Amino acid sequence: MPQRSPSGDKRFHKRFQEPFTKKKVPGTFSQRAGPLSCCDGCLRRSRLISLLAGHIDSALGQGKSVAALFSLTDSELVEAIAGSGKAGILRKLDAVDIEREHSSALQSGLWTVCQHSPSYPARFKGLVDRPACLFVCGSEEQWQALQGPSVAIVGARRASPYGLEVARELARELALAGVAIVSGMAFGVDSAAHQGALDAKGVTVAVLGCGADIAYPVSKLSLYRSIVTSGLVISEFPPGFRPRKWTFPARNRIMAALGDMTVVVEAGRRSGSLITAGFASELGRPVGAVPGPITAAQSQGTNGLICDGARPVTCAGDVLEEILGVDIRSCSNGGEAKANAMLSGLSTELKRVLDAVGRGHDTVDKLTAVVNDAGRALSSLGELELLGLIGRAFDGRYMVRGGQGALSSHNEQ
Amino acid sequence: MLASVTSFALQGIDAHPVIVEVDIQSGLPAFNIVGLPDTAVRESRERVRSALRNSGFDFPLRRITVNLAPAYLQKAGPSFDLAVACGILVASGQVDAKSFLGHAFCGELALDGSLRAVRGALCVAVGAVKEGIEAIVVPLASLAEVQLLECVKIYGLGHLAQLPGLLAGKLAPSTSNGRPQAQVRRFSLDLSDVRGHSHAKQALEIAAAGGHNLLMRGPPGAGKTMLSRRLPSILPPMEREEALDVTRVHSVAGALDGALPIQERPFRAPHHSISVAGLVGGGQPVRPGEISLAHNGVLFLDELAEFPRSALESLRQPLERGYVTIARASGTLTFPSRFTLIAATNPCSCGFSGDSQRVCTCSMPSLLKYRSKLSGPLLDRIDILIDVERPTLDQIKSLGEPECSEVVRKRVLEARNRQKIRLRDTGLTCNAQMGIRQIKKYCLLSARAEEMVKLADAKLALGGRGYVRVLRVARTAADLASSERIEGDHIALALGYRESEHAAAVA
Repeated sequence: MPQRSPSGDKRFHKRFQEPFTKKKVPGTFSQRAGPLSCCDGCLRRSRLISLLAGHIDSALGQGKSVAALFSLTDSELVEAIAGSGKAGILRKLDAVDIEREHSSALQSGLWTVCQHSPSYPARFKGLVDRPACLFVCGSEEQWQALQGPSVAIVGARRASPYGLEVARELARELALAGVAIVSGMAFGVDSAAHQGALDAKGVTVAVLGCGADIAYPVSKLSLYRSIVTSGLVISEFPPGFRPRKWTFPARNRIMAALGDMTVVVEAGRRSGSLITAGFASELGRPVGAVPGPITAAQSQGTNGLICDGARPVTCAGDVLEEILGVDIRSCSNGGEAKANAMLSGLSTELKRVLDAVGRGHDTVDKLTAVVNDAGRALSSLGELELLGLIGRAFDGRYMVRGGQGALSSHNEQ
Repeated sequence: MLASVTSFALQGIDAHPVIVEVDIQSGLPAFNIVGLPDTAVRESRERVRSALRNSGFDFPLRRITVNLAPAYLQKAGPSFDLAVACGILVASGQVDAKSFLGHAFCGELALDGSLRAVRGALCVAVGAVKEGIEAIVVPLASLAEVQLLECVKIYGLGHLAQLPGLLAGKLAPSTSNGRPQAQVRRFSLDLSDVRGHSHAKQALEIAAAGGHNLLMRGPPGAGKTMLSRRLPSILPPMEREEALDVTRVHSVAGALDGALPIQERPFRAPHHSISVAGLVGGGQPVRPGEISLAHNGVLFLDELAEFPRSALESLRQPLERGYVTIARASGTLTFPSRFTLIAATNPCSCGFSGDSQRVCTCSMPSLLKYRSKLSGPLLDRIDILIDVERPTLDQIKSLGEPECSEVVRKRVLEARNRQKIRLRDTGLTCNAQMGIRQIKKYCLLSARAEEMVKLADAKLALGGRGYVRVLRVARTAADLASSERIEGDHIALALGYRESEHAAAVA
């Protein structure tokens, strides 16, 4: 069942009662445009994309790239991929009722912005595969936040506690500094980044691979609602559109274009977030990657990016330096002192176990080689877990954590 | 003439007394059995007729009516054959009536008059003792199991023709075996066969000592099945009462073979294609399932995620209560099923999530779906959860000689004895059965342990059930360390056996 955003919410209704302004720009505008507006041509294009959804599936299967497809005009697109269904598609396209499109967007509590509108994000201008029409859920003030600095934070869905913690902390500190956090609301790093921005009461933007009124994945519904309340949910697909495999690379290009920098927090060798980093570097935007242990399979992608020239990101300051050009060190040294204090209070055995976990002995059996007793190993692990110094990953392996959420950089080791 | 003989009907593993009334009147020859007999009981007529004739007795050609009282109880199985035959003999005057008083009869007749073994003979004997009956007559083949009981005279009958001799007092009652000597237990599988796996061995020891349910998660080839099969070698021996209960269940199921009484704790390992009825009990007539056959023993479920959801859900009540109730139109039956559950499962459908050498090829939704097969309520009843990984050669070589089962069993036995003494007033036998009340009363925590529990509650979202699980396991760990007080180390150990929060959902 598609999850609809609260269209019964009074807040949304009030907005739609504001006086509308008719703008003198190319293309015909329907009466029922909102303060942000979309021309009929672009709205028709978004409907065309949804009509061609199945054909795009097979076209991408044959190797055409997402960017290439989206840079074609309407007629070129139909020519290229509709194949035998061309006549049917063209007929349906002619039958598209613009009024209905506008009202369905309104009913779902969404606004529309098209490439001809003055509110269209400046970052998209000039891009050959830019989205024609964006559907937005959120308030106008939050839309203004896109004028300021922004960062796209992406990463693996099956992230380790390290990746999740880093994503959340990084997003939190950047949001505190006034940077908008863009991500995809997927499992793992994306959700952690959104959560971090929400923690700091900053602005976060979720770019979805489905209609902006649908919360996908379904288990992220409460996160979706929080983002709608204090941030933005954006999609180039019409309301009610269900996600498909190709909609994710499609939205990844939008994420990369919306951020002044793209930071990959944790990615395996074949993670989809590396594609987002690829889009960013094609656009000439800086790409950052958070390093991880070289023995960890889930950090092979990010470490690889660093080898290929991405900027290593170890704290929020690294990102701020890159996008604002200023040497701002926002690392909390207070957290570092706290972590050190906790470490000094540990018994020798606990320190030894912590050290061993840090060096890669991440299961009880491996630690028994260090401590000689499975019972003692397990007790030490339990205690360290209680103190917050280690955590357990999805598969039960132990990993060192930063203590009380301190993203401390430049640690003397 | 009217005759009345005592027999028993099985209900679950209990025996309900049944009075077999036989009435012989003049009239056209007929032979009817009433009192809700099932097909086997109705077929008794043919068996009794042939057996009596072939044993040299007369079969009266008159109107014979047999009533199995009480008439509301369903009578099943061929065990009433002997009682019906005796009733006919008394009613037709071929045997003296007075000598039958105070005897209970149970047995199946062959057509030549010899007696066949019957299921549940031991249960019948236990029922007879409860009713205050002084002597039981059972088939010779069922004698061995009945001999486990004391305080009752047991007669083993081989052939119907021996009956007059028995009643005349010429046949001596068999002595009850009472307390057989403790045999030296020899196990073919020993814990020292397993190299490495110290984590899993530690967990097995705790599971054996406290009777805790255990789930092992790991890739194929990690050694989960190998480890589980060695659990019986470290389990403490059964008490007499426990052995008797186990023998009764097996007797009802017709699964008695080998030495009696059953001294080894049962180890049942059903395949995951088993039906719910096969697992929990049921069918027509109602038979005990694998969980009842595992009573006072171990139920090993390999490939837990492959078991049908319905089968796993049906385990919840027995795991909680220790018995299973099977409802039928004719009434409800209760079988005991207090077992230790040992389960093994893969972490995902490809099996290699978390493996250090091979990459997991499952998609995220498929991974979550596989994990969700083990429902929350089932996991709630599993006290110990461990991840088992395939041991590398270094790990195997670095450790010294592994301990043999004998050594571990001694520790387990000591820990069990401490529990027995501590829990003697409660009627419980091991730590895993403790509820919140017993935990409040018997689990004394050191100051550091209290602190850790508070911290765990705050940081790790234990919940009520989680708290109970952690304390039970900590109590067993303390028992194994011969400590009356639960120390911080024991709590930390127990915390390591819970499901990690991140396993539930990523972010």
